[in-house]
Amino acid sequence: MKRFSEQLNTKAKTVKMTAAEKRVLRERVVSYMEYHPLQAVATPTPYSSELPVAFFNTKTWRSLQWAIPAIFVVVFGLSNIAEEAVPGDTLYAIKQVNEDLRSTMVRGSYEKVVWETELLNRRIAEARVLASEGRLTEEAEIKVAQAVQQHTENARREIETLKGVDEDEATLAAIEFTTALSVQSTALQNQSVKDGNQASTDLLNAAVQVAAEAVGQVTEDNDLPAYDKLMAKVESETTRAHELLISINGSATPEERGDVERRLSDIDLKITTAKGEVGVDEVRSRESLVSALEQTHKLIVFMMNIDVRASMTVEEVVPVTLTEVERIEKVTTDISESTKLILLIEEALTATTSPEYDLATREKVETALVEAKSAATSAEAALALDPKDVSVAEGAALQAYNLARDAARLLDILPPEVVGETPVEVTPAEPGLGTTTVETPPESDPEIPTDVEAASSTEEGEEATQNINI
Amino acid sequence: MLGPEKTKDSVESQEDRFLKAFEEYSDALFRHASMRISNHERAIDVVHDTFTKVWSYLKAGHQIDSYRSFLYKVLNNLIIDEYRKQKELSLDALLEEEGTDEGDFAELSESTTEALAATIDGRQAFLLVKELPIEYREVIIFRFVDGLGPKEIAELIEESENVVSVRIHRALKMLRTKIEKANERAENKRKNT
Repeated sequence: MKRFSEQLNTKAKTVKMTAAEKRVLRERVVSYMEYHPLQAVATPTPYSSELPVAFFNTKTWRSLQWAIPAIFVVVFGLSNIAEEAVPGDTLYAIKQVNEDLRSTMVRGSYEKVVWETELLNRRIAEARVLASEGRLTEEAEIKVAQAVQQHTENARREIETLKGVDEDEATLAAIEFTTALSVQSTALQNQSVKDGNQASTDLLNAAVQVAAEAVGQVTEDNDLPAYDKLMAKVESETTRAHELLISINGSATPEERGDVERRLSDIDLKITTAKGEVGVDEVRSRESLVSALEQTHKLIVFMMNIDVRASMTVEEVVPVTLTEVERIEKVTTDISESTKLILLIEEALTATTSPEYDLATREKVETALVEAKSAATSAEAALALDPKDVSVAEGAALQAYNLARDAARLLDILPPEVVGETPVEVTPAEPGLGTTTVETPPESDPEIPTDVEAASSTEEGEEATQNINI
Repeated sequence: MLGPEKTKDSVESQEDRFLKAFEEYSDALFRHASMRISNHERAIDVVHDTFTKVWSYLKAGHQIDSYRSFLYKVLNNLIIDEYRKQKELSLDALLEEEGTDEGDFAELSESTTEALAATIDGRQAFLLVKELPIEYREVIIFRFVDGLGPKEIAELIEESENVVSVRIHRALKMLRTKIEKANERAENKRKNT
């Protein structure tokens, strides 16, 4: 049998493929393997259908494997680029599609108001970009104004709906919308003044004003939101503001960041005070929180819009709130500046009998001098009290300073460093919210001669529009 | 023989094992196919189909423990399909005609089969194998060309070991008869000339 087997095998071995045939066969098998690659992890289960697996191993699928990420990159890339588009750009249509899509995904009245606020910000930002590039035609402005109207109407409707369900939420939503409007309105006015082209955004400005009034009407008779809700909202918004501040690190200047940080710490202080007050005077505490919420919203709008930052300072958005130490420091400075001026005036009055100072002028100056001295003394007395009456001291010191300065101006001896200087002034904060308002209306003093009064009034008028950057 | 459980080997090692099996068995499989279906091109195609079917089996997540047995099993099934396609004769009818009786003691004995084989010239047998009925051709090639034992052949063709032994014995007898007849014819021819 062995012989038989060997003989048969020897013969059988002559039956074989040629080297070329074997090579071709191998290539066919290998290419089959390549077109039907094994799965990294064994996928089929006894119940799974082979069909989907078969599809994922097809040539079509493998080319799609590369095409799908590419399509995603293109679609999302375009969407992102389109976010920067303004009316008239090719990609603006994509931006509108994006917005429409997002609109359909927004649920809940409060979220809708937030989204309408975002849209309003966007439309105004676009108008501002167009205006800065000289592309804001009347037609484009009308469209933006209409959009502002539309978003305001939508927001108003949602706030009305909310009112029926949850009045607190309605008030919070209204705060969100109106603060954005207020920031945009100021930024628009500033932009117009800066460009020297008052008419360029006039229509838009008017639309924003009307919008602010419309939303204001809806909520004007609203009660303050409940303390807990307010506090929750304030906390979430301040967190958002702190996060935003971190995120704008690259685009904001160190000064801007410093300014915003200062306002945020002011707001934090206000919240802490409100927390302390809640047991004593809850209404006052809630008012403080509403004010803190408004300021936080304004800061958020300010930080989120680079163009807003370009056309206004943070002081215009949220005026700084001085701490007590800073206020005392300012009172001291005012008193010492007034004293210097008083000395200067006294020297001038005694040193000369020059006819350039007529009797009337001398009389006015002397009266003002007495008033200034008296005010400075009152300020010092208020500071000497325990506890210090900072509010009274602030008023008296500022009055002393203003009177002394006006008197020096009448004598034409105002030192050059004072001429162009804007006296430090505490910007009136929200009335009735516990922040001290310092006002020194010169007309409150009937003793001051008319000229001095006029001079003071003019100064005050100018000063009212000017704010201090600390 | 065949692992029903899902494969846990890495894709790389599965591919390597598969390609190694190709290098090791493709020639033997071709020889087997070629001797059974007597068509060089078709034999190459059948071997190709054998490997692609085995690959698909792997891809479905199965594991193969012994490539040799599995490849022969698939090849055998494909050859039977090939016969059915050719329809030269009805395989079923033929199987029925030959019967699957258990055979006698002599046919079942390995030693008698060896003794029988020893009387046959393998070189002549090679030329006459293709004249054997399909199922005889099959067992002779498995046994003497591919070197499989009766047990392995039984598993492959899904018959009992006894049936395989009987078939081998009868196939050898048939071969010897054919060789003898061929020798007689050759002898007569020589005498005549």
